[in-house]
Amino acid sequence: MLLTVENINKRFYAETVLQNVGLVLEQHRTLSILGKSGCGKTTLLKIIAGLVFQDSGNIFLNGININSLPPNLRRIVYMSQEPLLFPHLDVFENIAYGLRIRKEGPAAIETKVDQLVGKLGLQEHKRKMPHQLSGGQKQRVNFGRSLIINPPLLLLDEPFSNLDTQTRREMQQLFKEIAGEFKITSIFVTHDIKEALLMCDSIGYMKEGQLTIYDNKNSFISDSNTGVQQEIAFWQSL
Amino acid sequence: MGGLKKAIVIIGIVLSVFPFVFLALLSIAQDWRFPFLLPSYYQSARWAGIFTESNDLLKSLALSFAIAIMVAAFSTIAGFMISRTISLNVKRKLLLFACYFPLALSPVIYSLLINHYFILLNLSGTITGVIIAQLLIAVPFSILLLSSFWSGYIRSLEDIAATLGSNFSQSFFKVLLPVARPQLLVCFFQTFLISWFEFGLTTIIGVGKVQTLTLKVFEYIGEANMYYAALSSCIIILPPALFLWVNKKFVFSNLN
Amino acid sequence: MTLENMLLKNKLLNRAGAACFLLLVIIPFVAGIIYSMLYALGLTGILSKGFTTEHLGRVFENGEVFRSLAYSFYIAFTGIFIALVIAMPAVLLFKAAVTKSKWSFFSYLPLALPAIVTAFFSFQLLGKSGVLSRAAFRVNVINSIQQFPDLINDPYSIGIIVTHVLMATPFFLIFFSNVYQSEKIEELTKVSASLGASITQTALKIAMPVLLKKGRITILLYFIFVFGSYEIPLILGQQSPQMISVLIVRKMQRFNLLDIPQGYFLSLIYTITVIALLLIFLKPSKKGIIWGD
Repeated sequence: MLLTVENINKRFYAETVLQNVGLVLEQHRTLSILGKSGCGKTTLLKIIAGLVFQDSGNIFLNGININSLPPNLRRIVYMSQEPLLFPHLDVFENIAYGLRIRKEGPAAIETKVDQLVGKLGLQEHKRKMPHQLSGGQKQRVNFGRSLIINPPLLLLDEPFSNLDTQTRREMQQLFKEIAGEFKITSIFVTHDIKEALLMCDSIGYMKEGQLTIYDNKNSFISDSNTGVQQEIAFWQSL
Repeated sequence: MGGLKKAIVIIGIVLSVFPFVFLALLSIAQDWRFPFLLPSYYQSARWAGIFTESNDLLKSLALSFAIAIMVAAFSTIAGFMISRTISLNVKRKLLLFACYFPLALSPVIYSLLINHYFILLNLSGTITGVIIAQLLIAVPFSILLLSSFWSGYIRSLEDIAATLGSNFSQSFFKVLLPVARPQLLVCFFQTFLISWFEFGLTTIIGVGKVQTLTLKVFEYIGEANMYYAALSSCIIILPPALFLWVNKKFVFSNLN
Repeated sequence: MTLENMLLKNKLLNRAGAACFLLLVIIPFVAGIIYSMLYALGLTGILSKGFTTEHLGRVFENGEVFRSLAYSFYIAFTGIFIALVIAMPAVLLFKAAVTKSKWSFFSYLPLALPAIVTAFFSFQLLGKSGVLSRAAFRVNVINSIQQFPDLINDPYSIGIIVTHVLMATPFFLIFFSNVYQSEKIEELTKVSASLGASITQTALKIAMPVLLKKGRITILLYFIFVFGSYEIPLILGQQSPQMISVLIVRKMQRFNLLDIPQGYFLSLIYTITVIALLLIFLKPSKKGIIWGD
């Protein structure tokens, strides 16, 4: 198991945000977590990334308890809904950022970034500043910035929800290709049922701070809580 | 309507430029009495005399500049640090409101309230004392100006940088500082001007011994020496006019 | 580094920030008020003889403080009112051009003049031997210097008001131009017109109310600034009444040591007035610093 999360609990003041949340994730697999806004998905991801501290519970990465590791040492990259590119750096430097702080050599950085820029279809935009990019281009740069340091685990927090339908489809396709090529291990959080089913190897459903992991997609689809049945009924009624 | 608008613009430009032209003329006028609209004679010796005569204008210029640079540097750094601390505090809105109190008071009256402590600490009549006193109004100003920087967006940038492997100082120097640079520059120049323009507080805490340029203007007005008052006025307005030329935001401040 | 160390470092940084905040913002302000109270009540100072309200009584005795406060309010109100009357219509006429056109540099240029220089300039402009007087002489409106009216050190404080208007108008021009753009008043104006409103109706019912609402905090802060102004009334004002700052400095700096406790008490009155204005009109709340809720 790459990631094991055990009994995570979190309260913000009087509100319980996460209640006994646990999951396991194998290497090179994507776990989708479906849930509505405010159900605790983002808090869970931030706890795994080390950006928020849990009240209780453990997180194991490759069998090692990482509770006391600060976020910059966990090697778990968090990708938020907003691409949040560094506004003062161009596309190249945004992608190169992780390599520069790891003090890799300029030649190696040039090679790695150029290769990744090519794969992401950003060659023409390499020297553009973030404000000159479209939403989809920004999210590609965001991917590049996250992938170039080969993180053991990638956390994607509704990365495509701000994009239009067409761009969203393209990004979903791109992610699946890149996840396969780079053998990424990731947790993909979304409130879109179709996206959750599309992106995952395994799937979970989060409601009011509690996470249910399904054995397979069929059991997810059959569960009336997830909303899939209602969706099917709607389309059948038309 | 086009003609009226043009006329208003022309009047506005004339009104805007006139004080500068007038003060410049007065500073080089040899003899300019009633009822003449222009000086009878001009001379540049007064300007050249800044560097040669014993009128202490050069000293005042250097002193004002040094004090303003120190006040600007300290208050920008302190404001950046303190506004970050405040942004993380639950009572941040109350703390920011508290910053308005020393700022809203007339600096001369604020200096009278605290003058006793400066005397006790042997800071009265010293350059250090004047710098510290000016910091007491410049720092609240810079806190209010820089508080808008510490938004959720910046916190998110910090988080992203951390998950990409940055420790605190890497995030600070490679992400926060560069992103904050425009706002820090605005803060620096505006606090520079707070110090550069300061008169009342400097008079009280400096006890007239710390002779900045604003004090020289007042001294010359008191002596009815209008030509030197105009000369020192011209020197005072040179830096802000230059800042304006570079970036208007360096001069205009609105703490709303 | 562990998470605990990182948190500790963060905590230390925060504590340093908090210490600086206390040292540079809160403590001096509070310490100044406390010392003033003690001095005004006779509990400290060169001539202190113990607790007394004698100095407080003297301050109110001849009514000087009330005249000074009223006078300061008059100057602040009049100066700002005139500046707003000029700036707001100008912004509605020129809109974003005030700050965005090639001529916008001239909108900002007057901000390069500090109060003392503007006061000096006003003195040269409005004085009996000033520029206006000479121009009036040249066009035969007056025949001698004595015929020119007193515009400096005069009972209506025309010189002081004009100086504050000279300083406030460019400031409010730029400020309202920024508000005009940020609040999309141009778009609102078009909506208003499409609903049948005339230009005047739109200006009075839409544009100006939005500008004033957004500008209320800034107007209040500028009012407080003019209310407490020092250099301008010092150079251009008459002996009585005096603006509050000038009165206080005069009391505190005179050779008569008995005036000093009065000066401290006046400082307290002034400070309480400013704090009251801030508290009434600028209260912090959960929503932020808002207008009077």
